[in-house]
Amino acid sequence: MYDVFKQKLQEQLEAFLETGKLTGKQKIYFFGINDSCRETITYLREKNLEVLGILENNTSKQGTYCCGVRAVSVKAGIGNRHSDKVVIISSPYWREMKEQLLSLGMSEEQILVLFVFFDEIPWKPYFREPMKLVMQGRDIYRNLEKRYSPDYHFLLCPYTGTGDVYLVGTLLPAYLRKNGIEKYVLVVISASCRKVAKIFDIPYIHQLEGMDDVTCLLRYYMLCPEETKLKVLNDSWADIYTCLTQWVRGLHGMDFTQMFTRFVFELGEKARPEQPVLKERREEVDVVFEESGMVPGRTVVIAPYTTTLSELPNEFWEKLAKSLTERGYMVFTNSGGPGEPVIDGTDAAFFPLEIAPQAMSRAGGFVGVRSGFCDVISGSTAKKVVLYDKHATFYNCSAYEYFSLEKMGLCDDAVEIEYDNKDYLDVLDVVLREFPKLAEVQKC
Amino acid sequence: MLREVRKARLGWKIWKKMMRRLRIDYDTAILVLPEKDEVWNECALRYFPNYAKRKSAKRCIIMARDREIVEKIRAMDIGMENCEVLCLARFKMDLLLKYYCLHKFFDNIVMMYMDEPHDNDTKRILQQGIVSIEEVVCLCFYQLREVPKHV
Repeated sequence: MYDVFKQKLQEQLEAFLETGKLTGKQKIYFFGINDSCRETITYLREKNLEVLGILENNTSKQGTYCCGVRAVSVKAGIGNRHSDKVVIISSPYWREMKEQLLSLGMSEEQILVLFVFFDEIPWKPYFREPMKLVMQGRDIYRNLEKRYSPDYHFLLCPYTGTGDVYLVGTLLPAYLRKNGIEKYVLVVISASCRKVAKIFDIPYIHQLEGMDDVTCLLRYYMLCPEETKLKVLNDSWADIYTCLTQWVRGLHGMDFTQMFTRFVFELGEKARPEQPVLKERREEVDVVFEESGMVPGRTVVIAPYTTTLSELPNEFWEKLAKSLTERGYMVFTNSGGPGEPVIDGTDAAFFPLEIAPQAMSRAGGFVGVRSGFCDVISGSTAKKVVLYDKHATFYNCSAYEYFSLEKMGLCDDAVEIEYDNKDYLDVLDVVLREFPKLAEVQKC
Repeated sequence: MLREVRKARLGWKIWKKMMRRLRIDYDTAILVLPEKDEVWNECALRYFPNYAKRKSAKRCIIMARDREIVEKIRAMDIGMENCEVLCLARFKMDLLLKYYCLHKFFDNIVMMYMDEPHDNDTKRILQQGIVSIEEVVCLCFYQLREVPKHV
Protein backbone atom coordinates (compact mmCIF):
# COMPACT_ATOMS: atom_id res chain seq x y z
CA MET A 1 0.00 0.00 0.00
CA TYR A 2 1.32 3.42 -0.93
CA ASP A 3 2.62 5.40 2.05
CA VAL A 4 0.09 8.22 1.81
CA PHE A 5 -2.81 5.74 2.06
CA LYS A 6 -1.10 3.85 4.85
CA GLN A 7 -0.78 7.07 6.77
CA LYS A 8 -4.44 7.92 6.21
CA LEU A 9 -5.49 4.49 7.41
CA GLN A 10 -3.31 4.63 10.50
CA GLU A 11 -4.52 8.09 11.42
CA GLN A 12 -8.12 6.98 11.28
CA LEU A 13 -7.45 3.83 13.28
CA GLU A 14 -5.59 5.92 15.83
CA ALA A 15 -8.60 8.21 16.10
CA PHE A 16 -10.87 5.20 16.71
CA LEU A 17 -8.54 4.03 19.47
CA GLU A 18 -8.30 7.43 21.10
CA THR A 19 -12.03 8.01 21.11
CA GLY A 20 -12.71 4.55 22.51
CA LYS A 21 -14.61 3.37 19.43
CA LEU A 22 -12.04 0.62 19.14
CA THR A 23 -10.81 -1.06 22.33
CA GLY A 24 -9.16 -4.25 23.50
CA LYS A 25 -12.43 -5.37 25.07
CA GLN A 26 -14.17 -5.84 21.73
CA LYS A 27 -13.99 -8.65 19.25
CA ILE A 28 -12.70 -6.98 16.13
CA TYR A 29 -13.60 -8.02 12.61
CA PHE A 30 -12.73 -6.61 9.22
CA PHE A 31 -15.18 -6.66 6.33
CA GLY A 32 -13.61 -7.65 2.99
CA ILE A 33 -10.15 -8.91 2.04
CA ASN A 34 -8.27 -5.99 0.49
CA ASP A 35 -5.17 -3.86 0.99
CA SER A 36 -6.73 -1.99 3.88
CA CYS A 37 -7.50 -5.31 5.58
CA ARG A 38 -3.87 -6.30 5.47
CA GLU A 39 -2.69 -2.94 6.75
CA THR A 40 -5.31 -2.79 9.50
CA ILE A 41 -4.42 -6.24 10.83
CA THR A 42 -0.72 -5.35 10.82
CA TYR A 43 -1.25 -1.98 12.49
CA LEU A 44 -3.57 -3.27 15.20
CA ARG A 45 -1.14 -6.09 15.97
CA GLU A 46 1.46 -3.47 16.76
CA LYS A 47 -1.07 -2.12 19.28
CA ASN A 48 -1.57 -5.63 20.70
CA LEU A 49 -5.03 -5.89 19.22
CA GLU A 50 -6.02 -8.88 17.12
CA VAL A 51 -8.53 -8.96 14.30
CA LEU A 52 -10.40 -12.19 14.98
CA GLY A 53 -11.90 -12.71 11.58
CA ILE A 54 -12.53 -11.29 8.14
CA LEU A 55 -16.09 -11.13 6.85
CA GLU A 56 -16.49 -11.93 3.17
CA ASN A 57 -19.54 -12.09 0.92
CA ASN A 58 -17.46 -13.53 -1.90
CA THR A 59 -17.76 -17.30 -1.40
CA SER A 60 -14.50 -17.97 -3.26
CA LYS A 61 -12.60 -15.90 -0.71
CA GLN A 62 -14.23 -17.54 2.30
CA GLY A 63 -11.78 -19.95 3.90
CA THR A 64 -8.74 -18.04 2.66
CA TYR A 65 -6.38 -16.10 4.87
CA CYS A 66 -4.96 -12.64 5.09
CA CYS A 67 -2.06 -12.13 7.50
CA GLY A 68 -3.03 -15.36 9.18
CA VAL A 69 -6.64 -14.30 9.79
CA ARG A 70 -9.37 -16.44 8.26
CA ALA A 71 -12.15 -15.12 6.06
CA VAL A 72 -15.68 -16.38 6.78
CA SER A 73 -19.17 -15.54 5.62
CA VAL A 74 -20.72 -12.44 7.14
CA LYS A 75 -23.45 -14.36 8.97
CA ALA A 76 -20.99 -16.91 10.36
CA GLY A 77 -18.67 -14.15 11.52
CA ILE A 78 -21.32 -11.99 13.14
CA GLY A 79 -23.32 -14.81 14.65
CA ASN A 80 -26.44 -14.26 16.68
CA ARG A 81 -24.73 -12.70 19.65
CA HIS A 82 -22.63 -9.77 18.59
CA SER A 83 -22.98 -7.03 21.18
CA ASP A 84 -19.26 -7.26 21.91
CA LYS A 85 -18.22 -7.15 18.28
CA VAL A 86 -17.02 -4.29 16.14
CA VAL A 87 -16.58 -4.41 12.38
CA ILE A 88 -14.19 -2.25 10.41
CA ILE A 89 -15.00 -1.48 6.77
CA SER A 90 -12.78 0.10 4.14
CA SER A 91 -14.46 -0.14 0.76
CA PRO A 92 -16.19 2.14 -1.71
CA TYR A 93 -19.23 -0.12 -1.19
CA TRP A 94 -19.27 0.74 2.50
CA ARG A 95 -22.88 1.86 2.45
CA GLU A 96 -24.15 -1.51 1.22
CA MET A 97 -21.87 -3.35 3.61
CA LYS A 98 -22.99 -1.24 6.52
CA GLU A 99 -26.62 -1.84 5.55
CA GLN A 100 -25.97 -5.57 5.53
CA LEU A 101 -24.53 -5.45 9.04
CA LEU A 102 -27.37 -3.30 10.33
CA SER A 103 -29.88 -5.77 8.92
CA LEU A 104 -28.14 -8.51 10.91
CA GLY A 105 -28.77 -6.59 14.10
CA MET A 106 -25.54 -4.68 14.59
CA SER A 107 -25.71 -1.08 15.70
CA GLU A 108 -24.22 2.02 14.07
CA GLU A 109 -21.64 2.31 16.86
CA GLN A 110 -20.34 -1.16 16.11
CA ILE A 111 -19.52 -0.31 12.49
CA LEU A 112 -16.38 1.74 11.83
CA VAL A 113 -15.68 2.98 8.33
CA LEU A 114 -12.18 3.87 7.10
CA PHE A 115 -12.03 6.34 4.24
CA VAL A 116 -8.66 5.56 2.69
CA PHE A 117 -8.72 5.27 -1.11
CA PHE A 118 -11.95 7.15 -1.43
CA ASP A 119 -13.73 9.94 0.40
CA GLU A 120 -17.15 9.87 1.87
CA ILE A 121 -19.29 11.59 -0.73
CA PRO A 122 -20.47 14.78 0.96
CA TRP A 123 -24.18 15.30 0.97
CA LYS A 124 -23.76 18.95 0.03
CA PRO A 125 -23.20 19.09 -3.73
CA TYR A 126 -19.84 20.77 -4.09
CA PHE A 127 -18.51 22.76 -6.97
CA ARG A 128 -15.71 24.96 -5.74
CA GLU A 129 -13.77 22.24 -3.94
CA PRO A 130 -13.50 19.85 -6.89
CA MET A 131 -12.71 22.78 -9.20
CA LYS A 132 -9.64 23.57 -7.08
CA LEU A 133 -8.33 20.09 -7.83
CA VAL A 134 -9.00 20.59 -11.55
CA MET A 135 -7.10 23.87 -11.57
CA GLN A 136 -4.17 22.28 -9.78
CA GLY A 137 -4.26 19.49 -12.32
CA ARG A 138 -4.21 21.97 -15.15
CA ASP A 139 -1.11 23.62 -13.64
CA ILE A 140 0.62 20.26 -13.33
CA TYR A 141 -0.18 19.49 -16.96
CA ARG A 142 1.04 22.88 -18.13
CA ASN A 143 4.28 22.35 -16.23
CA LEU A 144 4.74 19.07 -18.05
CA GLU A 145 4.17 20.83 -21.37
CA LYS A 146 6.63 23.53 -20.40
CA ARG A 147 9.26 21.04 -19.36
CA TYR A 148 9.02 18.80 -22.42
CA SER A 149 6.96 20.55 -25.10
CA PRO A 150 3.27 20.81 -25.98
CA ASP A 151 4.07 18.51 -28.96
CA TYR A 152 4.69 15.62 -26.66
CA HIS A 153 2.21 12.91 -25.72
CA PHE A 154 2.03 12.20 -22.00
CA LEU A 155 1.42 8.55 -21.26
CA LEU A 156 0.36 8.21 -17.64
CA CYS A 157 0.69 5.14 -15.42
CA PRO A 158 -1.36 6.32 -12.42
CA TYR A 159 -0.61 3.26 -10.25
CA THR A 160 2.22 1.90 -8.16
CA GLY A 161 2.03 -1.58 -9.68
CA THR A 162 5.44 -2.50 -11.06
CA GLY A 163 3.91 -5.41 -12.99
CA ASP A 164 1.53 -3.05 -14.74
CA VAL A 165 4.39 -0.75 -15.75
CA TYR A 166 6.37 -3.73 -17.03
CA LEU A 167 3.45 -4.90 -19.17
CA VAL A 168 3.06 -1.36 -20.49
CA GLY A 169 6.74 -1.38 -21.46
CA THR A 170 6.31 -4.57 -23.48
CA LEU A 171 3.30 -3.25 -25.42
CA LEU A 172 4.37 0.36 -25.86
CA PRO A 173 6.54 -0.13 -28.98
CA ALA A 174 3.63 -1.57 -30.97
CA TYR A 175 1.32 1.22 -29.78
CA LEU A 176 3.81 3.93 -30.72
CA ARG A 177 4.37 2.39 -34.14
CA LYS A 178 0.63 2.04 -34.82
CA ASN A 179 -0.10 5.64 -33.89
CA GLY A 180 3.04 7.20 -35.36
CA ILE A 181 4.05 8.68 -32.02
CA GLU A 182 7.67 9.69 -31.74
CA LYS A 183 7.62 12.31 -29.02
CA TYR A 184 6.29 11.10 -25.73
CA VAL A 185 6.93 11.07 -22.01
CA LEU A 186 6.06 8.15 -19.76
CA VAL A 187 4.66 9.62 -16.55
CA VAL A 188 4.83 7.47 -13.42
CA ILE A 189 4.10 8.07 -9.76
CA SER A 190 6.71 6.15 -7.82
CA ALA A 191 10.43 5.49 -7.81
CA SER A 192 9.91 1.76 -8.24
CA CYS A 193 7.78 2.33 -11.34
CA ARG A 194 10.43 4.64 -12.73
CA LYS A 195 13.05 1.95 -12.19
CA VAL A 196 10.95 -0.64 -13.99
CA ALA A 197 10.37 1.76 -16.88
CA LYS A 198 14.16 2.16 -17.17
CA ILE A 199 14.41 -1.46 -18.24
CA PHE A 200 12.90 -0.37 -21.56
CA ASP A 201 14.11 2.06 -24.19
CA ILE A 202 11.95 4.94 -23.06
CA PRO A 203 13.66 8.28 -23.65
CA TYR A 204 11.76 10.34 -21.11
CA ILE A 205 10.36 9.09 -17.83
CA HIS A 206 8.82 11.65 -15.54
CA GLN A 207 7.95 10.87 -11.93
CA LEU A 208 5.18 12.98 -10.45
CA GLU A 209 5.66 14.27 -6.93
CA GLY A 210 2.95 12.21 -5.30
CA MET A 211 -0.51 10.72 -5.32
CA ASP A 212 -2.10 14.16 -4.91
CA ASP A 213 -0.53 15.25 -8.19
CA VAL A 214 -1.97 12.24 -9.96
CA THR A 215 -5.43 12.87 -8.53
CA CYS A 216 -5.39 16.51 -9.62
CA LEU A 217 -4.04 15.66 -13.07
CA LEU A 218 -6.76 13.09 -13.57
CA ARG A 219 -9.45 15.48 -12.40
CA TYR A 220 -8.33 17.96 -15.05
CA TYR A 221 -8.20 15.16 -17.63
CA MET A 222 -11.69 13.95 -16.76
CA LEU A 223 -13.23 17.40 -17.10
CA CYS A 224 -11.25 18.52 -20.17
CA PRO A 225 -9.91 15.44 -21.95
CA GLU A 226 -9.78 17.16 -25.35
CA GLU A 227 -7.43 19.84 -24.04
CA THR A 228 -4.70 17.38 -23.22
CA LYS A 229 -2.42 14.93 -25.01
CA LEU A 230 -2.71 12.70 -21.97
CA LYS A 231 -3.34 8.99 -22.30
CA VAL A 232 -4.03 6.90 -19.22
CA LEU A 233 -2.32 3.53 -19.55
CA ASN A 234 -4.76 1.38 -17.64
CA ASP A 235 -8.04 -0.35 -18.38
CA SER A 236 -9.50 1.50 -15.43
CA TRP A 237 -8.46 3.39 -12.34
CA ALA A 238 -10.22 4.33 -9.11
CA ASP A 239 -9.81 8.06 -9.77
CA ILE A 240 -11.41 7.64 -13.20
CA TYR A 241 -14.74 6.41 -11.91
CA THR A 242 -16.40 7.07 -15.28
CA CYS A 243 -14.43 4.21 -16.84
CA LEU A 244 -15.97 0.85 -16.01
CA THR A 245 -13.80 -1.46 -18.14
CA GLN A 246 -12.15 -3.14 -15.16
CA TRP A 247 -15.38 -5.01 -14.41
CA VAL A 248 -14.94 -7.24 -17.46
CA ARG A 249 -11.45 -8.32 -16.43
CA GLY A 250 -11.14 -12.07 -16.73
CA LEU A 251 -14.41 -12.48 -18.58
CA HIS A 252 -14.30 -14.97 -21.47
CA GLY A 253 -10.54 -15.43 -21.31
CA MET A 254 -9.59 -11.74 -21.24
CA ASP A 255 -6.44 -11.91 -19.15
CA PHE A 256 -4.14 -9.09 -18.05
CA THR A 257 -2.43 -8.78 -21.43
CA GLN A 258 -5.70 -8.98 -23.37
CA MET A 259 -7.25 -6.16 -21.33
CA PHE A 260 -4.29 -3.97 -22.24
CA THR A 261 -4.05 -4.98 -25.89
CA ARG A 262 -7.80 -4.64 -26.48
CA PHE A 263 -8.75 -1.61 -24.40
CA VAL A 264 -5.67 0.36 -23.40
CA PHE A 265 -3.52 0.17 -26.50
CA GLU A 266 -6.22 -0.96 -29.01
CA LEU A 267 -3.81 -3.36 -30.68
CA GLY A 268 -6.31 -6.19 -30.98
CA GLU A 269 -6.47 -9.47 -29.11
CA LYS A 270 -3.65 -11.11 -31.09
CA ALA A 271 -0.99 -8.56 -30.08
CA ARG A 272 1.67 -9.98 -27.77
CA PRO A 273 4.15 -8.37 -25.39
CA GLU A 274 7.67 -7.71 -26.70
CA GLN A 275 10.30 -8.44 -24.07
CA PRO A 276 12.99 -5.74 -23.99
CA VAL A 277 16.56 -6.34 -25.10
CA LEU A 278 18.26 -6.27 -21.72
CA LYS A 279 21.09 -3.79 -21.33
CA GLU A 280 24.49 -4.94 -20.19
CA ARG A 281 24.62 -4.05 -16.49
CA ARG A 282 27.43 -6.37 -15.42
CA GLU A 283 29.18 -4.02 -13.01
CA GLU A 284 26.00 -3.16 -11.14
CA VAL A 285 25.04 -6.81 -10.84
CA ASP A 286 28.59 -7.59 -9.66
CA VAL A 287 28.15 -5.11 -6.81
CA VAL A 288 24.86 -6.72 -5.77
CA PHE A 289 26.41 -10.18 -5.67
CA GLU A 290 29.48 -9.04 -3.81
CA GLU A 291 27.55 -7.15 -1.16
CA SER A 292 24.90 -9.78 -0.58
CA GLY A 293 27.01 -12.92 -0.85
CA MET A 294 24.78 -14.44 -3.55
CA VAL A 295 26.50 -17.07 -5.66
CA PRO A 296 25.83 -17.17 -9.42
CA GLY A 297 23.85 -20.20 -10.52
CA ARG A 298 23.38 -21.51 -6.98
CA THR A 299 21.07 -18.89 -5.53
CA VAL A 300 17.33 -19.09 -5.13
CA VAL A 301 15.49 -15.87 -4.40
CA ILE A 302 12.17 -16.39 -2.65
CA ALA A 303 9.47 -13.75 -2.86
CA PRO A 304 6.72 -14.38 -0.29
CA TYR A 305 5.00 -10.98 -0.50
CA THR A 306 2.42 -9.57 -2.84
CA THR A 307 0.08 -6.60 -2.72
CA THR A 308 -2.63 -7.84 -5.07
CA LEU A 309 -2.99 -11.57 -4.45
CA SER A 310 -2.83 -14.06 -1.57
CA GLU A 311 0.23 -15.02 0.41
CA LEU A 312 1.39 -18.31 1.89
CA PRO A 313 2.08 -18.73 5.61
CA ASN A 314 5.65 -18.34 6.83
CA GLU A 315 5.80 -22.06 7.63
CA PHE A 316 5.84 -22.88 3.93
CA TRP A 317 8.71 -20.52 3.17
CA GLU A 318 10.76 -21.64 6.17
CA LYS A 319 10.44 -25.29 5.16
CA LEU A 320 11.24 -24.42 1.54
CA ALA A 321 14.32 -22.41 2.53
CA LYS A 322 15.56 -25.25 4.77
CA SER A 323 15.10 -27.88 2.03
CA LEU A 324 16.78 -25.72 -0.60
CA THR A 325 19.72 -25.05 1.71
CA GLU A 326 20.08 -28.80 2.33
CA ARG A 327 20.25 -29.24 -1.44
CA GLY A 328 23.15 -26.85 -1.70
CA TYR A 329 21.41 -23.62 -2.65
CA MET A 330 21.82 -20.24 -1.05
CA VAL A 331 18.42 -18.82 -0.27
CA PHE A 332 17.59 -15.14 -0.12
CA THR A 333 14.31 -13.34 0.59
CA ASN A 334 13.30 -10.58 -1.78
CA SER A 335 12.51 -7.99 0.84
CA GLY A 336 11.38 -4.44 0.17
CA GLY A 337 11.77 -3.22 3.76
CA PRO A 338 10.50 -3.69 7.35
CA GLY A 339 6.98 -4.54 6.17
CA GLU A 340 8.45 -7.55 4.33
CA PRO A 341 10.55 -9.39 6.93
CA VAL A 342 13.22 -11.83 5.86
CA ILE A 343 12.16 -15.46 6.18
CA ASP A 344 14.02 -17.40 8.90
CA GLY A 345 16.97 -19.28 7.50
CA THR A 346 17.52 -16.83 4.64
CA ASP A 347 19.29 -13.55 4.03
CA ALA A 348 17.84 -10.41 2.52
CA ALA A 349 18.21 -9.83 -1.18
CA PHE A 350 17.75 -6.41 -2.50
CA PHE A 351 18.61 -5.30 -5.98
CA PRO A 352 17.38 -2.30 -7.92
CA LEU A 353 14.40 -3.17 -10.09
CA GLU A 354 16.07 -1.83 -13.22
CA ILE A 355 18.65 -4.64 -13.05
CA ALA A 356 16.33 -7.30 -11.59
CA PRO A 357 16.14 -9.38 -14.81
CA GLN A 358 19.93 -9.48 -15.16
CA ALA A 359 20.47 -10.16 -11.45
CA MET A 360 17.94 -12.99 -11.47
CA SER A 361 19.48 -14.56 -14.57
CA ARG A 362 22.79 -14.64 -12.76
CA ALA A 363 21.31 -15.92 -9.49
CA GLY A 364 19.69 -18.94 -11.09
CA GLY A 365 16.41 -19.56 -9.31
CA PHE A 366 13.23 -17.85 -8.15
CA VAL A 367 10.24 -19.06 -6.15
CA GLY A 368 7.51 -16.58 -5.37
CA VAL A 369 3.84 -15.88 -5.05
CA ARG A 370 2.54 -14.09 -8.10
CA SER A 371 3.40 -10.41 -7.86
CA GLY A 372 4.60 -7.55 -10.03
CA PHE A 373 8.16 -8.73 -9.47
CA CYS A 374 7.31 -11.86 -11.48
CA ASP A 375 6.45 -9.69 -14.49
CA VAL A 376 9.70 -7.78 -14.13
CA ILE A 377 11.84 -10.93 -14.14
CA SER A 378 9.71 -12.81 -16.68
CA GLY A 379 12.37 -12.24 -19.37
CA SER A 380 15.24 -13.56 -17.23
CA THR A 381 16.78 -16.99 -17.80
CA ALA A 382 16.42 -17.99 -14.13
CA LYS A 383 14.34 -21.04 -13.21
CA LYS A 384 11.10 -19.36 -12.25
CA VAL A 385 8.49 -21.02 -10.05
CA VAL A 386 5.38 -18.93 -9.55
CA LEU A 387 2.67 -19.83 -7.05
CA TYR A 388 -1.04 -19.08 -7.25
CA ASP A 389 -3.70 -19.68 -4.63
CA LYS A 390 -6.16 -22.01 -6.35
CA HIS A 391 -9.07 -20.30 -4.67
CA ALA A 392 -7.96 -16.74 -5.33
CA THR A 393 -10.11 -14.92 -7.80
CA PHE A 394 -9.52 -11.72 -9.68
CA TYR A 395 -12.66 -10.10 -10.95
CA ASN A 396 -14.26 -12.74 -13.22
CA CYS A 397 -11.75 -15.56 -13.20
CA SER A 398 -9.09 -17.19 -11.08
CA ALA A 399 -5.87 -15.36 -10.29
CA TYR A 400 -4.00 -17.95 -12.36
CA GLU A 401 -6.22 -17.47 -15.40
CA TYR A 402 -5.74 -13.70 -15.26
CA PHE A 403 -2.08 -13.41 -14.32
CA SER A 404 -0.39 -16.52 -15.71
CA LEU A 405 2.89 -15.38 -17.24
CA GLU A 406 2.50 -17.90 -20.04
CA LYS A 407 -1.08 -16.93 -20.88
CA MET A 408 -0.03 -13.30 -20.81
CA GLY A 409 2.67 -14.06 -23.36
CA LEU A 410 5.48 -12.86 -21.12
CA CYS A 411 7.39 -16.14 -21.01
CA ASP A 412 6.96 -19.83 -21.66
CA ASP A 413 9.57 -21.21 -19.28
CA ALA A 414 8.00 -20.41 -15.90
CA VAL A 415 6.67 -23.26 -13.79
CA GLU A 416 3.31 -22.01 -12.59
CA ILE A 417 1.66 -23.92 -9.78
CA GLU A 418 -1.76 -23.54 -8.21
CA TYR A 419 -1.88 -24.55 -4.56
CA ASP A 420 -4.75 -25.21 -2.20
CA ASN A 421 -4.43 -22.86 0.75
CA LYS A 422 -5.75 -25.56 3.08
CA ASP A 423 -2.96 -27.98 2.08
CA TYR A 424 -0.21 -25.59 1.15
CA LEU A 425 2.56 -27.88 2.33
CA ASP A 426 1.59 -30.37 -0.39
CA VAL A 427 3.01 -28.01 -2.96
CA LEU A 428 6.44 -28.03 -1.29
CA ASP A 429 7.47 -31.28 -2.99
CA VAL A 430 6.23 -30.03 -6.33
CA VAL A 431 8.37 -26.91 -6.00
CA LEU A 432 11.44 -28.82 -4.79
CA ARG A 433 11.33 -31.06 -7.87
CA GLU A 434 12.41 -28.00 -9.85
CA PHE A 435 15.58 -27.63 -7.76
CA PRO A 436 17.68 -30.83 -7.80
CA LYS A 437 20.46 -31.29 -5.31
CA LEU A 438 23.53 -29.38 -6.39
CA ALA A 439 26.93 -31.00 -6.70
CA GLU A 440 29.29 -29.84 -4.00
CA VAL A 441 31.52 -26.96 -5.03
CA GLN A 442 35.11 -28.13 -5.27
CA LYS A 443 37.22 -26.69 -2.46
CA CYS A 444 40.43 -25.05 -3.54
CA MET B 1 -11.72 24.88 -20.43
CA LEU B 2 -14.19 27.64 -19.75
CA ARG B 3 -16.84 25.83 -21.78
CA GLU B 4 -16.36 22.60 -19.82
CA VAL B 5 -16.48 24.45 -16.50
CA ARG B 6 -19.66 26.20 -17.57
CA LYS B 7 -21.28 22.87 -18.46
CA ALA B 8 -20.24 21.39 -15.13
CA ARG B 9 -21.66 24.38 -13.31
CA LEU B 10 -24.99 24.01 -15.08
CA GLY B 11 -24.98 20.32 -14.24
CA TRP B 12 -24.36 21.22 -10.60
CA LYS B 13 -27.41 23.47 -10.61
CA ILE B 14 -29.55 20.77 -12.20
CA TRP B 15 -28.46 18.32 -9.52
CA LYS B 16 -29.18 20.73 -6.67
CA LYS B 17 -32.65 21.34 -8.07
CA MET B 18 -33.28 17.62 -8.49
CA MET B 19 -32.21 16.89 -4.93
CA ARG B 20 -34.64 19.44 -3.60
CA ARG B 21 -37.62 18.71 -5.83
CA LEU B 22 -37.38 14.97 -5.80
CA ARG B 23 -36.21 14.75 -2.18
CA ILE B 24 -33.29 12.53 -3.11
CA ASP B 25 -31.41 10.79 -0.33
CA TYR B 26 -29.53 7.53 0.09
CA ASP B 27 -32.78 5.59 0.15
CA THR B 28 -33.12 6.51 -3.53
CA ALA B 29 -31.61 4.81 -6.58
CA ILE B 30 -31.56 6.75 -9.84
CA LEU B 31 -31.31 5.43 -13.39
CA VAL B 32 -30.59 7.84 -16.23
CA LEU B 33 -31.30 6.61 -19.77
CA PRO B 34 -29.71 8.94 -22.33
CA GLU B 35 -29.69 6.49 -25.26
CA LYS B 36 -32.40 5.78 -27.82
CA ASP B 37 -31.25 2.18 -28.27
CA GLU B 38 -34.27 0.09 -27.21
CA VAL B 39 -32.32 -3.11 -26.56
CA TRP B 40 -29.89 -1.21 -24.35
CA ASN B 41 -32.63 0.52 -22.40
CA GLU B 42 -34.63 -2.65 -21.98
CA CYS B 43 -31.59 -4.41 -20.55
CA ALA B 44 -30.89 -1.53 -18.18
CA LEU B 45 -34.48 -1.60 -16.94
CA ARG B 46 -34.59 -5.38 -16.58
CA TYR B 47 -31.72 -5.41 -14.09
CA PHE B 48 -32.37 -2.11 -12.37
CA PRO B 49 -34.33 -3.81 -9.55
CA ASN B 50 -31.20 -5.89 -8.77
CA TYR B 51 -29.17 -2.71 -8.53
CA ALA B 52 -31.77 -1.05 -6.33
CA LYS B 53 -31.79 -4.08 -4.04
CA ARG B 54 -28.02 -4.02 -3.78
CA LYS B 55 -28.22 -0.38 -2.77
CA SER B 56 -31.03 -1.09 -0.28
CA ALA B 57 -33.01 1.63 -1.99
CA LYS B 58 -36.56 2.18 -0.85
CA ARG B 59 -37.52 4.22 -3.90
CA CYS B 60 -36.35 4.58 -7.47
CA ILE B 61 -36.31 7.29 -10.07
CA ILE B 62 -35.90 6.58 -13.76
CA MET B 63 -35.15 9.43 -16.12
CA ALA B 64 -35.62 8.99 -19.83
CA ARG B 65 -34.70 11.46 -22.56
CA ASP B 66 -38.10 11.88 -24.19
CA ARG B 67 -41.81 11.45 -23.50
CA GLU B 68 -42.13 8.48 -25.83
CA ILE B 69 -39.60 6.45 -23.86
CA VAL B 70 -41.16 7.62 -20.58
CA GLU B 71 -44.58 6.34 -21.68
CA LYS B 72 -43.14 3.00 -22.78
CA ILE B 73 -41.43 2.56 -19.40
CA ARG B 74 -44.56 3.51 -17.48
CA ALA B 75 -46.47 0.85 -19.42
CA MET B 76 -43.92 -1.80 -18.49
CA ASP B 77 -43.84 -3.90 -15.34
CA ILE B 78 -40.34 -3.10 -14.13
CA GLY B 79 -40.80 -5.11 -10.98
CA MET B 80 -40.38 -2.26 -8.52
CA GLU B 81 -42.82 -0.53 -6.28
CA ASN B 82 -42.35 3.11 -5.45
CA CYS B 83 -40.78 3.97 -8.76
CA GLU B 84 -41.10 7.33 -10.51
CA VAL B 85 -40.49 7.71 -14.24
CA LEU B 86 -39.63 11.20 -15.40
CA CYS B 87 -38.53 12.96 -18.53
CA LEU B 88 -35.18 14.76 -18.56
CA ALA B 89 -33.94 16.28 -21.80
CA ARG B 90 -30.79 14.76 -23.23
CA PHE B 91 -28.88 18.04 -23.04
CA LYS B 92 -29.64 18.23 -19.32
CA MET B 93 -28.45 14.66 -18.87
CA ASP B 94 -25.21 15.65 -20.62
CA LEU B 95 -24.77 18.58 -18.25
CA LEU B 96 -25.37 16.30 -15.29
CA LEU B 97 -22.74 13.93 -16.68
CA LYS B 98 -20.30 16.80 -17.04
CA TYR B 99 -20.83 17.66 -13.37
CA TYR B 100 -20.34 13.97 -12.56
CA CYS B 101 -16.97 14.12 -14.37
CA LEU B 102 -16.01 17.00 -12.09
CA HIS B 103 -17.30 15.46 -8.90
CA LYS B 104 -18.85 12.10 -8.05
CA PHE B 105 -21.85 13.70 -6.42
CA PHE B 106 -23.91 10.62 -5.61
CA ASP B 107 -23.24 6.91 -5.08
CA ASN B 108 -26.68 5.71 -6.12
CA ILE B 109 -26.92 7.06 -9.65
CA VAL B 110 -26.25 5.10 -12.85
CA MET B 111 -25.98 6.97 -16.14
CA MET B 112 -26.31 4.51 -18.97
CA TYR B 113 -24.20 6.19 -21.63
CA MET B 114 -22.62 3.89 -24.21
CA ASP B 115 -19.69 6.07 -25.21
CA GLU B 116 -19.56 9.09 -22.98
CA PRO B 117 -17.74 10.55 -21.21
CA HIS B 118 -14.26 10.25 -22.73
CA ASP B 119 -13.14 7.10 -20.89
CA ASN B 120 -16.36 5.17 -21.23
CA ASP B 121 -15.37 2.09 -23.26
CA THR B 122 -18.80 0.47 -23.35
CA LYS B 123 -19.22 0.60 -27.13
CA ARG B 124 -15.70 -0.72 -27.64
CA ILE B 125 -16.30 -3.55 -25.15
CA LEU B 126 -19.48 -4.59 -26.97
CA GLN B 127 -17.76 -4.32 -30.37
CA GLN B 128 -15.22 -6.95 -29.27
CA GLY B 129 -18.10 -9.39 -29.67
CA ILE B 130 -17.36 -11.51 -26.65
CA VAL B 131 -19.03 -9.62 -23.83
CA SER B 132 -22.83 -9.48 -23.89
CA ILE B 133 -24.98 -6.45 -23.21
CA GLU B 134 -26.27 -8.13 -20.06
CA GLU B 135 -22.74 -8.59 -18.78
CA VAL B 136 -21.84 -4.98 -19.46
CA VAL B 137 -24.99 -3.68 -17.79
CA CYS B 138 -24.81 -5.96 -14.75
CA LEU B 139 -21.07 -6.14 -14.14
CA CYS B 140 -19.90 -2.71 -15.30
CA PHE B 141 -22.78 -0.34 -14.64
CA TYR B 142 -24.59 -2.02 -11.78
CA GLN B 143 -21.49 -3.77 -10.40
CA LEU B 144 -23.39 -6.89 -9.50
CA ARG B 145 -21.26 -10.00 -8.94
CA GLU B 146 -22.89 -11.80 -11.86
CA VAL B 147 -25.74 -11.52 -14.34
CA PRO B 148 -28.82 -12.46 -12.28
CA LYS B 149 -31.04 -15.19 -13.67
CA HIS B 150 -34.40 -13.78 -14.57
CA VAL B 151 -37.49 -15.89 -15.19
